[in-house]
Amino acid sequence: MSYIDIIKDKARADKKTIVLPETTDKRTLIAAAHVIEENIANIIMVGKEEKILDGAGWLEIDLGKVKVIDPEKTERLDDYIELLYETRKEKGMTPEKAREVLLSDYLTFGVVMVKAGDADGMVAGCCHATADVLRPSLQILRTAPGTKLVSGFFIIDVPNCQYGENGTFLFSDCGLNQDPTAEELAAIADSSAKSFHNLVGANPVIALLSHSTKGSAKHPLVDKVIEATRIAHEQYPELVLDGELQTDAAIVPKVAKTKAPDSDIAGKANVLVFPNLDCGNIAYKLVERLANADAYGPMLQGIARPVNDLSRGCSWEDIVGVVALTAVQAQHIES
Amino acid sequence: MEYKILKEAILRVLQVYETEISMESKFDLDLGADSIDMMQMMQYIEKETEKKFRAVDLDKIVTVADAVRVMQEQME
Repeated sequence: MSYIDIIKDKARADKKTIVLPETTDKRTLIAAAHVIEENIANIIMVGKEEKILDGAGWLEIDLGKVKVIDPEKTERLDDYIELLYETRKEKGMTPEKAREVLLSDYLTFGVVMVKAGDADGMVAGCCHATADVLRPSLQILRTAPGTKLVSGFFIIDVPNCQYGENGTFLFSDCGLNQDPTAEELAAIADSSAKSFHNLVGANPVIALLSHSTKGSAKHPLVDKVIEATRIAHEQYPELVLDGELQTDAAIVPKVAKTKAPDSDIAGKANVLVFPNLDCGNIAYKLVERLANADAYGPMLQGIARPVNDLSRGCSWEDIVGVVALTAVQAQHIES
Repeated sequence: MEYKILKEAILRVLQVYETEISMESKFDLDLGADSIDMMQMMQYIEKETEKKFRAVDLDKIVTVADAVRVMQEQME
């Protein structure tokens, strides 16, 4: 069974409601039909019912079980206006402005639905920039309690691989923070541990990666990872974590014995935290292409409720997968 | 005839001014059409022409001229 099939099963076990606000894109419509057909989640689509049904008719798909919310017609509009106003009034939001935003910006409308508890999570970004998805999510939902920053990760499923969790890894940050500080790296490690536990169901073993293992190289870049490791041990003592480690020392037991013989983590890592976005982004694409791995993401972690961004080049199959992952993230928010 | 029907479809679905429509107009950039708008226009055109356009790859229709060409091919 593939990783994403396991995630779909988990999503089915405790069905959540996911809002899809990009209903002017046919991929969203096709994905919604498949999510319903596969019984992965309940779906709310934000948009004009006539238009969505016309699209479904053309595509010959069944959206009968999808709930369509038209911002102009919903009875909840006044509640959402109040919620948006209350959340953002210190930043100059007025009820009039809130109404205008909610009627014109479906991404914000979707985020407010999640904030109100009418949906458990949101998936968007197939026809919007990452910033357009992130901005309302951070402004309205904000970061999760005890979390310092939002970061992006991938679940990487490498076929026929003995390393990590039987070939499954979490790579972070591969999509958001370009040059995190040592403190931010430690926070990324903490969020990544939770994400790995929630989405893979195994205990996270975290390596803070570098081009150096335990002092084998001297450079300010290495110092940053050493400092991040120190901060992580101090601030998140429950984490099973070590650094600075090269990738081979982190995941290959034989190499770990030579390069980091005193580390309990080296050789066993399944969560790889990269020192910057260049490394993370390059690494996941290399593994995806050269090792024929499945890469699920970029998923967001650290937001109070799950919102995930899609690539604008995504397929409808990708959207189905991200909906399933978002639904499983939502299960853990409530627990 | 194709252009006349297409123009009517554009006016109904996209609610743009007639003066904004030309053969060179790009559906997404100039007329603001999204992928569902394209389907709605094609549904209108199917109704008016009584021809089927389901097999057409709408992603390949970029300009009004592309749409007219596709319609002519289907009407032959």
